[in-house]
Amino acid sequence: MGTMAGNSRKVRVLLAKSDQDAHDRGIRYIAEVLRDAGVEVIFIRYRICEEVTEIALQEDVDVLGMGFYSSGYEFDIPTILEALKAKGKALKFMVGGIISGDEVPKLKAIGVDAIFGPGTPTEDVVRFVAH
Amino acid sequence: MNELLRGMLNGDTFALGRLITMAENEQLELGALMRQLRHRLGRAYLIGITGAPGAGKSTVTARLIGLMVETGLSVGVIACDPSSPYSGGAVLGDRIRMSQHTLASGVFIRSMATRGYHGGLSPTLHTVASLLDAFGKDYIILETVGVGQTELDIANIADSNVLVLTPHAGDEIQAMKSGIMEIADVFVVNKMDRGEADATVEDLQGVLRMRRKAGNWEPRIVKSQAVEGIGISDVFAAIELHRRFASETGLRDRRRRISSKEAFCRTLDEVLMKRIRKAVTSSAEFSSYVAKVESGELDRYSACDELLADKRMWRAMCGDPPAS
Repeated sequence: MGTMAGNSRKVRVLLAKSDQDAHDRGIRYIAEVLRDAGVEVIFIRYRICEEVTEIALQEDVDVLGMGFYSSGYEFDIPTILEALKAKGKALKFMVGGIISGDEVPKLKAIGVDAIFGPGTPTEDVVRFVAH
Repeated sequence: MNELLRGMLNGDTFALGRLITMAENEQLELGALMRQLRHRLGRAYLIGITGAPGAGKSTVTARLIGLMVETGLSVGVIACDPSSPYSGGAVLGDRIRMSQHTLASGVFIRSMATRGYHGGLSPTLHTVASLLDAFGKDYIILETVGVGQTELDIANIADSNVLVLTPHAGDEIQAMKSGIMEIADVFVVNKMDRGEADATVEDLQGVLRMRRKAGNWEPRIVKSQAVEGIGISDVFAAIELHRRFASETGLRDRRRRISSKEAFCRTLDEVLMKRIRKAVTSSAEFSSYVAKVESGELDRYSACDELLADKRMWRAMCGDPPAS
């Protein structure tokens, strides 16, 4: 790689998973898929929502992705969205994992841009992130 | 840019984050940025943390952050991870070890991918370090990607260099004699619970003894078990000792001069490369030589020679001298 390879615009994504949720296989897989698509991925586990917001600002990410395999998203997602809005930080927000059907319209209504449930082709995620 | 700059100088982390991105992507005029920051630079102390992959760089960094925060010091961290040479993407995982400090006051952590550069550091690292400096951090920790023997760019940027090793690194130490060993001011033998840490320390002492020279800094060797926080205050103390030595003997100023010169040369290389390559590759002559090389009519060396011998190429590369 020559020196000219630097300085290209890169999409930056923050992938966050609650520490209380043991299932991280999905989100780790997505991290690898996105890396292979040329994306810079920051992967974190968080205890409280403020951490996600603060890291999204410090890392200045274009996309925030969160994975949930148990309850908790009903609280975490609106909290994080509101905090980001208060800071004036615009980004694309995607959620993956197990989201019950009747929650989907509610989440979309409050500002979640995409919800990727089990079985989603990874190309869909890449397309969402990269374009 | 000015609005972001004002925000940043008022302590807004969002503005700082934005400016780092823009510097990384060269979306702003870096010269103008640096001119604006000029009077706010030079206060922060830069610590480089380097070492083999898995040695514990991020964990040592996390513990150092903890110590600094406890003491009421502010700290900026730049954590570098490699970009994939295939896709250009990266998984930046260093800050996962620093998660307990995310919300600590005075802490700002930024992950950076190397974006195709060797040397264990990102190309715009100097600029990002300057932004953190201007932001008012007391310390800036630069964590490199796991490096081998020759990726020593860090030596030219940091005021104090810390090399993190693990026990059983005996052969490693032998191999590193002429490379990374020379740049470290503080050696950390991490994972000391694994046994043979003392043997590793002795190996290190052996190598360093041969290099001892009156008047020079004598690198310190510290044992730690960073996961448990053991030995970290010794690491910090050794860094502070080096800091004092470096400022008293003028070493710090010397290093900063070298660092400035290196950064200047590097930037010059980049700008020249970019300008010349653009001029060459957009010329009609270039396309005709590409065709000749592709068809096998001409080998690449001869093609370079002929292309660069062309007077029109010279004109395209150098252009007219600047007015005035």
